Amino acid sequence: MEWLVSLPQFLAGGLAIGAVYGLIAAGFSLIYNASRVINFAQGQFVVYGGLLAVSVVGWGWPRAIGLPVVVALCVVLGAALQAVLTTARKGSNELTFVMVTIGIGMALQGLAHQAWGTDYLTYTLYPDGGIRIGGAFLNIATLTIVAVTIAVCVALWVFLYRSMWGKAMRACASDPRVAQTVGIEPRRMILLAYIASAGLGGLAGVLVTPPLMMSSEYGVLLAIKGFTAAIVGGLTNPFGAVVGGVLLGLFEGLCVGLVSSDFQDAYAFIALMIVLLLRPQGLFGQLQTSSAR
Amino acid sequence: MLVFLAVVPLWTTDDYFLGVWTFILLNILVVLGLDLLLGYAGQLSLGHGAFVAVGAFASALLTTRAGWSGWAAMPVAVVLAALLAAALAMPTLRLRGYYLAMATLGFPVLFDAVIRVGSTWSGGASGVTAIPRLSIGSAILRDPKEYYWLVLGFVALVLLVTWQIANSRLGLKLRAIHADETAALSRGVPVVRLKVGIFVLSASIAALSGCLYVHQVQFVAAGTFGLHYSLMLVVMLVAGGMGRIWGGVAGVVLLGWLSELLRGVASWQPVIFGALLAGLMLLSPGGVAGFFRRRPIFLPGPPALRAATPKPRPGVVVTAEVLRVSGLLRRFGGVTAVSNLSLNLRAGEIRAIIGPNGAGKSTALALISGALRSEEGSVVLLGRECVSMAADRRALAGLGRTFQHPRLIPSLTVFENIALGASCGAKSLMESLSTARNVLDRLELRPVAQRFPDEINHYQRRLTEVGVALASHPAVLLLDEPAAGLSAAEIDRLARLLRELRDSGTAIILVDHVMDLVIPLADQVLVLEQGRPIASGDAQSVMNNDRVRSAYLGETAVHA
Repeated sequence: MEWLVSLPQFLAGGLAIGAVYGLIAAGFSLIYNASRVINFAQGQFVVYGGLLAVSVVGWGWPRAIGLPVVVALCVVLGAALQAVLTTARKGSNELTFVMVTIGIGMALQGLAHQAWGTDYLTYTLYPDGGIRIGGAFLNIATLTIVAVTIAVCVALWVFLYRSMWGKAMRACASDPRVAQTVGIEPRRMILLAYIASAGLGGLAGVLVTPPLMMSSEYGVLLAIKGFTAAIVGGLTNPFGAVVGGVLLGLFEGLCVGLVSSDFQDAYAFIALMIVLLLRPQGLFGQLQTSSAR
Repeated sequence: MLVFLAVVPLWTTDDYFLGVWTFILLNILVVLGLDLLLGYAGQLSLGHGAFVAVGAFASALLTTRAGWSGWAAMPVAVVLAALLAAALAMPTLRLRGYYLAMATLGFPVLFDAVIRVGSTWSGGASGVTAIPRLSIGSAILRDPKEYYWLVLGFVALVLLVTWQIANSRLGLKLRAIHADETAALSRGVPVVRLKVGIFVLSASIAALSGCLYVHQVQFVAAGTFGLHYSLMLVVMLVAGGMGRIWGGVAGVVLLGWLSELLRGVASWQPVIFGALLAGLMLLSPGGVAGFFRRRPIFLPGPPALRAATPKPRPGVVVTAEVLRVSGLLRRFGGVTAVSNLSLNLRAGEIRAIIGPNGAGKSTALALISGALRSEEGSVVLLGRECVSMAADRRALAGLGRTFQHPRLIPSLTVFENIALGASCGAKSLMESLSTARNVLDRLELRPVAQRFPDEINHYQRRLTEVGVALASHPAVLLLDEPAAGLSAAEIDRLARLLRELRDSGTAIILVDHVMDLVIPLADQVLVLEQGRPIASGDAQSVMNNDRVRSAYLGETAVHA
């Protein structure tokens, strides 16, 4: 029964990375709701967040200034991606946009490779120490990441449900044509969604790089895992997506602990297939129904 | 193109050069399969390299570890890839969206991990070496020129298969799935089955390429066909032109040549090709082939000397009941869109469904046609209960429909759209083409038969939409606002057509606001308000009904 004793620690190991998957997943969800597009370049925001943070800290910038600047740069990257997408020819379908994000993701990964190589890079952020809960030791990095993720969720909720911009965004997600008749411009809402998800991705990269390291080749893996998290939680629900991320992280932690770490990066794919088989709408999402028209 | 590829070895003796061209041929194989999937059916795979790897490893291991001959290993490797593809496709392709794309990104991760973990038998990162060459009889294919021609033979074979698929009724159906799954279903296309089938076929072709690869290079290792390779396949296809067979071939040759040119800046290739993919999709999604007009798959042929007289669908007895709908219910969240919808319809009857905007008319049609599932009730068509059938099976059972906004397939000509409608129910290609020709003549659409839907006017589009539904020879025809936006003269012509159809034994359900069409035409009128039937009867009595008048004009107007 040795594995039972170490179970809490396996779970704790998946908590931090799970929260990060959740942030990526929320980004997928926001863009999908606004434009029905899956942004395959989503993982690159995380990579750029992490690697830019490594560089900025390396240049000796104070973290309190440097890290927010990094997140801001990711936001600019997201806005630029959306600006590129708006140049698509009239009548382009979703497949076109999806393939553009694939191409841009590929190019961004190549650029990151040029700038940072393929080595694992990291910087220091969190002090040592932590707390013991039950049989698990939670270090400060994990606690901080979870706390920030919760704070982001609260902020996102306030934005979506309490602010005019957020309400406009939700209206646009449920029916862009109707939203347009009350003066909401869908294009702006899509831009907002890209900005928000790039920000979330960048933040995730900044947070996760100190404890787990980052490489320019991680973008696609992070995208798969974030997408899986979004499907687990329900693609149409950003908060469900965050919960899905945490669940995926815990699942990975368990599998790595109980089965083998050789398949660490494949568990997300297995989880994706199981969820698509059993509950494709996810835990908190709605299945797309085709319009009657 | 094939001729050009065939003469390549004739003007070179350089083995390196010939090796490069053999790789180009191997890539052409994979891209031909990918084109069926992405270009024709519109389903995205970002991990086709993994299926090449499955073929390569299966063939490598069976020949080196089990001592099989390369020819025996090949079908086993291909079947293995097909099975894996089916397992990947079932959960992902029954849904709409980009689940397959994500799953095919994830599958190579698992495959790679398996290869690395099982390195004692798979060789892992250091690979499988000394893979035997293929031999014919006792002759081992050592000469690169001979091997080139062998691969070329396979390319020719696969080219023939893909050409056949692309230029057949199946090709029409795949293009329909690409453009609009809802419309495809309503024409009777078994969307999920075809998507899964074409993915399995395309993965099998990729595996075949992998088999041929290992017997040429005699070495394969984990990561040989990684993410970059899979993405390059997509870039090649897009550059040459998706959905055009020679486009894919041209793309492989073009990019093979381009990456040779870019060897000096090899490390920048992902940036260049990624940007190329994004740029092409934004500016010229048709690739090179997009600059040339597509040759029509099916031609309308010469007009018939005498138009065939319309006959009722087999099994339809004129004036007998063809459709019985009872108690249909559909809610969206808290809103009841349609409830308690019931009607009976005889062959040769026109039933109109009218009601103010938002009364649930389109939802009612969607419930009858199967585009939406009803929560309760039954739909009996020609004596068969079909409430639990999906839209494609109802279409085959005899339900034809048009959409409020015409949903023609933009990549098919008018004639091909109509042929698509005829192709699912017909027994043979000849039969579906002759049906389509009849419909074309009957609707007087012959002058625009070779045009694409965005090249014809609104009336012609509406008429084509009706023609697509007619071509399936429906027992019951559902028309959703066919007169919207038509001129008075055009409405007259439409009314004449509908009368002809009725007289030939077709039952019609007509949803429309244009009373000039509905009142003289309808035998019976059903009025919906807020999803519920509020009146039913002949046109005159319904129009004088107080509840109907208040639903349309408001309470006070009626009682004033």
